[in-house]
Amino acid sequence: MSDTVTLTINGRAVQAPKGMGLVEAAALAGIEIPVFCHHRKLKPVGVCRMCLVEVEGQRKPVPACTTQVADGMVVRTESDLIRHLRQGVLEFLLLNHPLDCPVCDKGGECPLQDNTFKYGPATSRLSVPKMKKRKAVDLGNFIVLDEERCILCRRCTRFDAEVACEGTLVVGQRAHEALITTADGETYDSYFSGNVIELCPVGALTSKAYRFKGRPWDLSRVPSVCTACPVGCNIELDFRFGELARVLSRENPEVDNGWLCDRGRFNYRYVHSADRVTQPLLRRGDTFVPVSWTEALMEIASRLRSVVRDHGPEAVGFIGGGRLTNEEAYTFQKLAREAVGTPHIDHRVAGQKVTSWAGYPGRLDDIDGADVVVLVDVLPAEQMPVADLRIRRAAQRGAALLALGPAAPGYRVPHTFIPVMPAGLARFLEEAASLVAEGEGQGRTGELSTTGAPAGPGPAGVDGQEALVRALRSARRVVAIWGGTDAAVGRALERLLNACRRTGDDRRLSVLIPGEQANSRGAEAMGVRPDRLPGHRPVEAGAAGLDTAGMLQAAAQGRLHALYLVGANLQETYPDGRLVREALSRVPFLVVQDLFLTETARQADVVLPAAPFAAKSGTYVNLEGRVQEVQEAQAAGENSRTDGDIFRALAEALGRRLDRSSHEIRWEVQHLLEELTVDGFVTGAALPGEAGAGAPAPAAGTARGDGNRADGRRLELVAVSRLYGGGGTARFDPAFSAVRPRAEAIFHPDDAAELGIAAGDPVELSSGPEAVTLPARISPQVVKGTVQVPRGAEGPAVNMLLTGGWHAPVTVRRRVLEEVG
Amino acid sequence: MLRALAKGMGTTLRMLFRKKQTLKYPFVKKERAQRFRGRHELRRYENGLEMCIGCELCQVACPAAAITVMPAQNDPENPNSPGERYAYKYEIDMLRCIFCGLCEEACPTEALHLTREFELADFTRESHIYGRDRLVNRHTSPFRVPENVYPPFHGLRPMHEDRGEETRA
Ligand code: SF4
Ligand code: SF4
Ligand code: SF4
Ligand code: SF4
Ligand code: FES
Repeated sequence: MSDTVTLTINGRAVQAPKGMGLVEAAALAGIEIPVFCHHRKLKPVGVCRMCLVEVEGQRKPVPACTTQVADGMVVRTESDLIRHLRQGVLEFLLLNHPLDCPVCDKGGECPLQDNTFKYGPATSRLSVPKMKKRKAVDLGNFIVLDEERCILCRRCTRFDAEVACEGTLVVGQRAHEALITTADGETYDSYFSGNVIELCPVGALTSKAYRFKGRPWDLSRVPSVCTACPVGCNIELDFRFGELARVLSRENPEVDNGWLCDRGRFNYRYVHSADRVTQPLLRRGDTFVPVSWTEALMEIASRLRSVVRDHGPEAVGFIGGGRLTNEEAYTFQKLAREAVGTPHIDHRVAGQKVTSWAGYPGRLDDIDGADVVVLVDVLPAEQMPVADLRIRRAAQRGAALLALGPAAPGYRVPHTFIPVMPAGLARFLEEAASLVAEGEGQGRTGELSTTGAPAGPGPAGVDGQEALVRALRSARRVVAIWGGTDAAVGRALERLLNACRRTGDDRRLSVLIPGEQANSRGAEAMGVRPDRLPGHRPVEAGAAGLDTAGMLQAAAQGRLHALYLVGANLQETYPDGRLVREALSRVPFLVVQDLFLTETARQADVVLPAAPFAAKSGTYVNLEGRVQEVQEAQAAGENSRTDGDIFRALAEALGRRLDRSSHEIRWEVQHLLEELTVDGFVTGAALPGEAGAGAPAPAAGTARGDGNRADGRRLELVAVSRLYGGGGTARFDPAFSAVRPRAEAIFHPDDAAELGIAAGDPVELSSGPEAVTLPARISPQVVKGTVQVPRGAEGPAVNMLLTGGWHAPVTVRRRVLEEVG
Repeated sequence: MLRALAKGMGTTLRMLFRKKQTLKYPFVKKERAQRFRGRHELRRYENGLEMCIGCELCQVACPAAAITVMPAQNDPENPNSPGERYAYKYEIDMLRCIFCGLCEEACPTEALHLTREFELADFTRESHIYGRDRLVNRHTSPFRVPENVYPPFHGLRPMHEDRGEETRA
């Protein structure tokens, strides 16, 4: 039997693959069947009846969206009957649809407008007043709902249930009173809420940020790539009068599948924030004075030259670059290595150790076919949101989803969470590896270790290791997603995957690592690393520079005399606030290149205003190694410059022309990337060996001196990533400053009870001399024995308590009220 | 030759006693047709609210690209226009305008109207760009806010508030 069928639509023979819906089959032949509720990414439901067609042999017209093609089917889409029915459907839909087109944000790109224009009756017969419902309902963080406009196609609720797998949006009420709502008391604060705006075929769901900003016809559209996380979703930037008015998805089935997360979609207004630094700033005493570019660059050049003269080039360090394009990152390391001559350069600003891994290269679409997805110390919804949709879908379709780590991922899809403390993670994986390799382990349940895991069963209620081993033994396609925070865990993971490979034959094993910044992998491939040159080439033995931790330590000890930070707000992002504080206050000369005057920039001697992503052209490498190109969409602005231009100008001021035009640099980068490309994807780097990459192992898990407070209790502090946390981009964006996480300490109910903490109580977390007071929250999602805090949150900087990793033991005690008041 | 001269002078003499075609312009103005299209105005409803809702349809209808509309959300406490939306910026470049009247025709609220005023001469190009200050009328008109079409705007409302009177009984 062949896989295609032949049917007749409007007298024309059409070949279509078996199982295809009639709407798509007709589209193949260039015949349009109007639809409302149907969407090719959602399961058909057939509620709107707009797509009715006549099929020979059927007594009544059938909805095309729920009908599959069959051999010999004869379909008519343009008969008088169908035309009449369409008019009827439209008249019915418009019965209570308000006359809002002139004020509706969907106007101009509205399927209801378009279909009515094309297929509807020209005049209305309606003489009775329309039904009234609520307008401008605040549906969630970013969305406004107009209940009157909704035609109840249920695309939004289906998206929420089928794609986001969350099920917050529901249809409430009945019959003509039916409307879209959320379960009582909940707001629609999904990370993926923005997608329903694009799905909605009317203007019922609209964006708060784009509300009444313009019309589709006055926008100029520029294709681009999202730089908010390493997934690299494809986006379209819509400008009006040179101002970024909105961001839409630009479907790329291999990357984003047409979806965006809310950070990518709504976090764009910082580009036009009034708080942006617009002029180079020079420190004069306690204040900054605005200066010209020439003056700023001359100042930096002369200070750097004198540092190099007095202390040698190794006294200069460069940190940052994970958000630069590849071309800029390449220029950046040239500035450091060639113009200044220092080996100290590192793009890692948030404590990540490994950004890519050549061993088991993973692709995003591996997740779709996976039968086991293992999350190792990673929260995909926060670190790689749109890729998380694939994970959720895989779990919903029946793949085993196992999450290991100190924080539960909080899925609403079936999954197993195995609480393992980061310190015990490597051992846990290694033991699992030997169990898989032995091909036994059933009899060993009793002695299975959950090293480092807090006492008591985890929320999953299953013995974690056994569940993992069992799932891996039978799996054909395994995807491991790893946070890359600890090289030892990586090696253990490698052992585990090797064990799986040995027992299997045609297994496909892959690993994905979400970088800490959008282009971490690109920066790494371009050599923004102390231990690797462009193209992942290792530096000569002994010539490796200091990594971020090393540079900060050297600066704190007074061995580093100049530090140059690019888009790196270390005070917020680096998991050792104390070290950063010491380093920044000690280092004699600090240059910060950023969009905003962050707390780090405020300590600088020179601040250089950089241009936002929309002003750049170049390439990015996403977390799977895909190279994506962007074009300049916007001028850099009066007085800011793109990072690449700044590096070139500075090198020139240093008397070292990088003697390369941007074309040459582009060509070299392209060449480098091509060299690294295997099967169309840039390969990762090798996993750092046992010896460690020169850097001292993170002191994670060790206490920094002991406060020894009698009334305190020791819990493991776990700082978790938050999608809306961190970054000047969120803080200086009017849409995001409100949804940024607030600093809080989240406890398991048992721990809270033991400590006598109630929700809202101020609690003091301390480690050594540092103490931070946060309001408490209680959630059963938190692992017992840990206290969870969001990273990059608004409020006291929790990284003061950390020592290089995102977890550390702390002493917790309840603040007594007198002390607070 | 004398004949010709006399004929010419005769014509001149005859014309001298005909009704004059020229007008003493600044003091006397020419009669304009009933539907003469001159400078635009943006009208107000009888209750004082602006009729323009910032829909931008005039902007897209204009063949000369003379109009710029920037809409915004009304302040529920102090609305400019009925409903949720109004034009916070509205500009017509009178030097580009060809006074075709298509904008007036496109306007769904009949806010935009071409008056019979034609004396638009000025000294700079900038001064020919008319903003809200010169376009929005200060006086009201007899139009009434259509019911149902622009319900009063109360600002964004929480999802789970008392639904009360709004769902029709
Ligand atoms: S809100 Fe939009 S997408 Fe949702 S049911 Fe109504 S019309 Fe459909
Ligand atoms: S998932 Fe990442 S790349 Fe995609 S839209 Fe969100 S932030 Fe941007
Ligand atoms: S009268 Fe014609 S040219 Fe002038 S603003 Fe209106 S549409 Fe444009
Ligand atoms: S004048 Fe009329 S057409 Fe123009 S924006 Fe206002 S309401 Fe719309
Ligand atoms: S599109 Fe087929 S019933 Fe709605």
